[in-house]
Amino acid sequence: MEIQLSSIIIQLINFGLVVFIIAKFIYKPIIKILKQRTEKIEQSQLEVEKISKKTQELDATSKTTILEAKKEANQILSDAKKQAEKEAASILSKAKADAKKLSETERKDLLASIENEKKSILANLSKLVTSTTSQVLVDALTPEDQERIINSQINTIKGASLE
Amino acid sequence: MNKPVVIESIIPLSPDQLAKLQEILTTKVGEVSLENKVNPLLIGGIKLHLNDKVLDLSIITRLNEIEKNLFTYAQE
Repeated sequence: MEIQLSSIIIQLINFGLVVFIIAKFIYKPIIKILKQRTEKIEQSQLEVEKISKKTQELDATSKTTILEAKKEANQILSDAKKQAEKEAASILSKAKADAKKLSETERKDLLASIENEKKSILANLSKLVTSTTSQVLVDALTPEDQERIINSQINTIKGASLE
Repeated sequence: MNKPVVIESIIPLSPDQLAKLQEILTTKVGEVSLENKVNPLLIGGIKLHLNDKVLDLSIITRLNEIEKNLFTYAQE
């Protein structure tokens, strides 16, 4: 087989044309696109970094806020507990004092009641004594006794005032 | 004018007793006319009524006074 120079030259020219066309119309735009893409990616990465940084900052802030809120809540709880304990102690103390007062009042009432009962019993007793004595005298006094009593009383009238 | 005197007693007064009373009362207040009433409630002794005055020597009144004194003592 014989290689013809003209074929080689034509092939070379063709190849050159293809390379030229590819370089001008395909390679450069592709490179441009790739470059743009790289820039976009880098930009996105920067933004992601920014967002990540901001997120971290927010996270730190929210943690601080949460901690502070927890601290405040604990303080409120502690204050409320102290206040409740104070009030409970006060209520208990008052209840004890009221109970003591009531006991004293009840004691006084009871004593008064006993005293009244005692007086009532003594009053009834006095009635019983006189009633019993009357009955005994009615049965015990003989007519002679009655005479003696009347005679004695007649003598008493001598010294009595009738004016 | 004789002053009326009512004498209450548990048993009727004897004439001697009435006479003695007549004498005593006449000395004290002047002429009196005695009336004797039997009152078993007296238990013993006598009770004289002269005008609006009463001389109560009956046993029942003594007992009532004792009862009153006991009651007063009980209230103190």
